[in-house]
Amino acid sequence: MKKPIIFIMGVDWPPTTFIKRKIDILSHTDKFKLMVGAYGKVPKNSYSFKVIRLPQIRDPLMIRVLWLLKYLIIGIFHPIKTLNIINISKQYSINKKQFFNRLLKYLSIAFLDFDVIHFEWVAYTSYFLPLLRYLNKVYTVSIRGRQITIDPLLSEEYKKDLYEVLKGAASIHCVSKALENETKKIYKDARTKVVYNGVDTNLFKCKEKSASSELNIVFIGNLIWKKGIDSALFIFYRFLKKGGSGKMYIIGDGDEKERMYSTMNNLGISHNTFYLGKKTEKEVAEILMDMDALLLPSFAEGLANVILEAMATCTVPIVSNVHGNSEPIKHKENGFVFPLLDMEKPASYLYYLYTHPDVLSKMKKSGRKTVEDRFTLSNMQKGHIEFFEEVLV
Amino acid sequence: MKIVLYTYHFPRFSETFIARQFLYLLEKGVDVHIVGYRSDELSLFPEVYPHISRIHYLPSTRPRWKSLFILLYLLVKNLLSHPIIFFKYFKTTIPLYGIINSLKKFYIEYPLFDLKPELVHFEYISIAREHFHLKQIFGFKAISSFRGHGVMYVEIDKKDFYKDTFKHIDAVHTLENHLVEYAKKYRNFPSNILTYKIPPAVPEDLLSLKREYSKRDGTNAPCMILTVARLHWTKGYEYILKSLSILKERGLKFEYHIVGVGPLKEMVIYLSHALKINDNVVLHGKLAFSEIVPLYLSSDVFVLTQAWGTILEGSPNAVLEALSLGLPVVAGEYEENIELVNKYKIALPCERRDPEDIANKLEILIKNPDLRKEIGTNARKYVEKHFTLTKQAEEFFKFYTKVLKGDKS
Repeated sequence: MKKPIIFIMGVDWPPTTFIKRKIDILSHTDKFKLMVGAYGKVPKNSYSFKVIRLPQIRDPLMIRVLWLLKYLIIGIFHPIKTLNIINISKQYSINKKQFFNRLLKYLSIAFLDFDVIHFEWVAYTSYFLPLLRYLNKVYTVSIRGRQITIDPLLSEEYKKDLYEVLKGAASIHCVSKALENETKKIYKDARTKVVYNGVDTNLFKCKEKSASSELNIVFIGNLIWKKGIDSALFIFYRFLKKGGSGKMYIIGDGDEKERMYSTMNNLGISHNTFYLGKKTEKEVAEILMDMDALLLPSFAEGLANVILEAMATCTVPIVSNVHGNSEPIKHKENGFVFPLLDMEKPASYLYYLYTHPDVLSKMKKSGRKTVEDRFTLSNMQKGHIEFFEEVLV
Repeated sequence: MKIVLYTYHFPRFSETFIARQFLYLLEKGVDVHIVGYRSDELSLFPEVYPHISRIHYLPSTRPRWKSLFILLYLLVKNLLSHPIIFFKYFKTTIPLYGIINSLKKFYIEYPLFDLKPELVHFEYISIAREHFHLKQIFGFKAISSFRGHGVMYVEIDKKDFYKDTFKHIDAVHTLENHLVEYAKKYRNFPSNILTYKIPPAVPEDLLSLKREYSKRDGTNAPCMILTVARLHWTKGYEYILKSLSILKERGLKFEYHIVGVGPLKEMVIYLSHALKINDNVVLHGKLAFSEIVPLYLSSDVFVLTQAWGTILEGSPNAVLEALSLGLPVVAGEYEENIELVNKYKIALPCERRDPEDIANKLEILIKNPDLRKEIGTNARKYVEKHFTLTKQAEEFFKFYTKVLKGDKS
């Protein structure tokens, strides 16, 4: 019997850590076949799944014209379908440029053979909605963060599109319960399923650390406003002011890098704050193993993967209580949560850990156990396979 | 005295001070010119229209084919009219930047061939960095301003980013002392360059505008809180919004008005919702100064938790404008200045990143209409004494004269 095909659509190549992880685990099941639609240069490695390079607007015009010619030649064998797609593309475009790009994107997936198409980014789905309706294809989406927590606040039009996408989706994967709630605020009958991300507990593991008189604190995240790097530095400054002693390490890159340096200088903490730049997953794991606490005062998160990674490496998470961040954390047992933009509480928690090494040690172990119990790769694999099985049924 | 003010775009809402400096120098009889790109905000500055011939707009670099023709025309024109300087220009720039980049530089520096200024004031240190070679060619005295971002954060991880620039400038105008100290510590700014502090200023007519103080105390009627600032990380909006959510939890009624645009609009909207104060927040976007004045006059408290800046030294401009219009201010202040601000009772300084402290200071002002009046009145007097445009223009005169005389004291 032919195995059903799941088409994961629109993955920027190389994929981000969590999408890579998801593709990896989905490709290791015999329940269905996996096909990935990728943007960017895909190396000719031998994957255990099919990777299809898709055209993107960033490609030079000449290349896009060649792509389109290729699809139109294929379209000769499906004349009615092709003409209908041309009409739909025309209908949803306001100028020739839009029409060209839309037609190209639509044709790039129109002749592919798949049973379910899955969009990793919900915002992207609405673009393909007219095509999916015409093809009568079952689609599913993942809800990760700002596309449900921030973007609907910024545009009514986007909110309407989102509503349509959620209404038509056969199933909606949410990375946390909090995002599930946000999804249902937009469309109350949304068919949601929470599948938590998992951590590779062999890569992210605990290391015996020698007793130290100072606290090693780490901030990991893109240096963008959502992540609150400025707040993290101020919290660290507060911790030092309270009499704590420690070093803060920062991993990530982004628009707020200059802010980070400027704040370090202005607070006079540049001598014990260390910017490490962007790191690979393996490097992050190595660094986390030497840390005591993760400080993450984000303003918005689905459920930051780094929290799970920190817990897996026996690093105590101190995170803002936004969206799904608090879901893996039992406050004061395996980590701390604090209200959004509270500067005092996280500084106190750091100081508490600094002055109570026994508690620190206990919490570290508790964090690891939480991950082993609930956030392993096999749990994640089980969740995703069930997600698609339910859709296929 | 022939002076060129070199800036990026002119005039700009967020750089009203340059337009004001230009107009006041003109009033003082200085032969002043502006070089920069055309902004789309000229309509916000009707007072600048009559002097448009003194603004030397740089040509656009798009479309390319058009800019190529303009470049050819400018090359021929300047070769014929200023042959010696023309050769000197390329003799200096080609070894520094190569032929292509020299031509690109010429495209945005050619107005100086006609102007031949005695002194060029680069309004930002980052502009001085792009054009410092001009001093060698034209032999003018070069001044750069320390205004904030160029010193505080642009390429801040490179300590020698301005090394060559500092070699070529004769003097630095700074808005506040802290910027010079910061530059010395984090920018390798040498101590032998003349630095001259001229704080921001406001036109005297603002000081005479009538202000009524409301009796609103946040329980009988909502207090009106105002911020005028770009929606940019330097302004610390997240901390203000959090402090307002604390005030709401404390049961105080308020409206928060924001005037400004910028990249963090989405953050402001998002946090307003996340902190459940979206019903209290009004985003006005970009307004002309004439439209902002009524807001200053009808508000009860001004708040700004900028990443740097000082109430005592009148920076940033929006804080100074609020002080000048008698609007009580809650803003960040350097530790060394706090005592004096409190002594003069001209504002309530706060810890810039501490929402609890910001909320406490706001609460004090919201609940005490009489204190608002007292602080507002003191602030107006303080501005009148130290920060008027007349004083500022005089100071710039003194400064420019000093630099032209080569006085380094």
